[in-house]
Amino acid sequence: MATKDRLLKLYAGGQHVTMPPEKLNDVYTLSKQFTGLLTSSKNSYCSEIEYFQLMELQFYLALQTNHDVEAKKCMDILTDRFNINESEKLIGLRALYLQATVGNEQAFQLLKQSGEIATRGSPLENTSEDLLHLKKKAVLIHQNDPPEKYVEMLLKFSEVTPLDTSVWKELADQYVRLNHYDKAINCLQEILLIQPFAYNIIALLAETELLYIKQLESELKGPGAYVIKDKLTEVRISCRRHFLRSVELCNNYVRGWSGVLAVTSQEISPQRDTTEVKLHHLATQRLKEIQEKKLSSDENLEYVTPILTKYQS
Amino acid sequence: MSPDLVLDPSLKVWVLLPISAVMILVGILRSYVTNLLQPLPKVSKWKDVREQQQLQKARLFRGNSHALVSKKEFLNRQAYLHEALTSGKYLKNAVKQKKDQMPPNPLSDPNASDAMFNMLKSNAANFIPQTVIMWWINYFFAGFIIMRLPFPLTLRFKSMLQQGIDTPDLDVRWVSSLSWYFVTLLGLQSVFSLILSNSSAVQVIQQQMPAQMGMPGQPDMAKVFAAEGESLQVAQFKSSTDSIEERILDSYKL
Repeated sequence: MATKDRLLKLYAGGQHVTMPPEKLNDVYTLSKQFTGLLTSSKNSYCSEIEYFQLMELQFYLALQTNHDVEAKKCMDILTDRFNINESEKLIGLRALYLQATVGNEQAFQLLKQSGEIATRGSPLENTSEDLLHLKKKAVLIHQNDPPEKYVEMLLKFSEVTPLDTSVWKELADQYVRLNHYDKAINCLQEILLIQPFAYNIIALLAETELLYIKQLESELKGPGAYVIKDKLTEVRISCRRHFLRSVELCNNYVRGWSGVLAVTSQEISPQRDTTEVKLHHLATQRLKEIQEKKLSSDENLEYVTPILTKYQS
Repeated sequence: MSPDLVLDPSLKVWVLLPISAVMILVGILRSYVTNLLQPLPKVSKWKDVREQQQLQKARLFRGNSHALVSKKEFLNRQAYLHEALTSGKYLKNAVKQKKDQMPPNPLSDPNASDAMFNMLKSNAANFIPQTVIMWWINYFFAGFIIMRLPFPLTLRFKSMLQQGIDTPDLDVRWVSSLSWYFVTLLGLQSVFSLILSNSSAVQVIQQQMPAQMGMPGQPDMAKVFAAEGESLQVAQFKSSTDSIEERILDSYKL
């Protein structure tokens, strides 16, 4: 029973998307063994709904670990039970499969076709505007088109579903790629307004502000230096406060403390007041403590020493 | 004490068992029929989604604005959201003229009538078989006493167990045919969940029912938006990062 619950939890949480490869492989093996024992016929161990949820999870895991045949098998089980012409979700899965095995173009064609198939039943409904596909189409277009067009698509999408944080994150990433740091900061703030205690996003926002500071500094010599100078002070304060907020919410957060260390260092803010010196001192102390007591993952701890040496004053 | 009445044993074979069997079979049939009558989940239209989410976004902004650092950011967003809400550009249906301030007739709205029709269908699946069985019992077995409970009961149960027979002095233990029908009608739920074995599906259907009830007569979204815009305007700003430097230094005693 424990295995089933763990897998279902994974399905609901979607952590498998960001898992490291070895762990992903373990989960895949586990899921494969477990679903191999089940059949879709009635049994007391797992209900029909749970069974198909596990199948969907297995499908994602198989695709991620490059087991195309297994993924096809899972999708066939799902299509046997549900009508693919009526299920938006199944069409999405199929497009994902095509994208992973054949290519983006075929996946895009499928989504376009499926819109036509779905409209045949009821000509009044404009299914080409349905949501899941809109998102998928936007992502598919992205690989072929210039980022500006992708951003435009994402903006359109974010207007329709402003509560979808993944869209805002993607937008922020794209703006960073295009060096529009101020816009990226705006997008990350949108996420914070939905999830105000997401300390990782707060740290990311502060890091983006750090990049913005560098950009503004390089512009200082150009025209309008007064305006930029004001802006610079503003962003510095906001950046420092965001890093501090992230370590307030999670007190062993290496990324947050490293940020505090950086933003209070001589390098980023040349004229430091006593508070900043104190904070710099505190950040050094905390990072050393985290390193000594191994309060974070090994991966994070690797970064501590180079950061400490870089920003040590 | 010997029983004061003697029941013909064929009553058991020809009345008690048939009623029970029919009730169970009809119950199973009904659950399949309700399953078939369930409307297919619809793809939500993007305008509906946008309307809901934009409204929710404004509400979240009021609650979570403490995440912003400077008041300038807050004021910018407040002004933007207020404009977006009051101008009605995210409304599903564009704002109508001032003239027809009448609330929309729920019978003429296609979405509402659709929901009502679904409700009607699922209700029909419930009350049609009930009416038919009750007629059947009343027609063939009116006034029958079909069983005797093996345990004594108080007088209060008389109305429950002896419906359809007017004998004030009869012991409460005797159960009439009509009462047996009511008892099985209300008490067979656990039997069904055993037989159908897919209890989760039954529960899912039951949970969906109340959600559909509220469909007709939705509030006027334009007014909801305007009200949200107003409460947005009076929202006060207080950042959670005010004096965070002191807070952090204090918490580490520096």
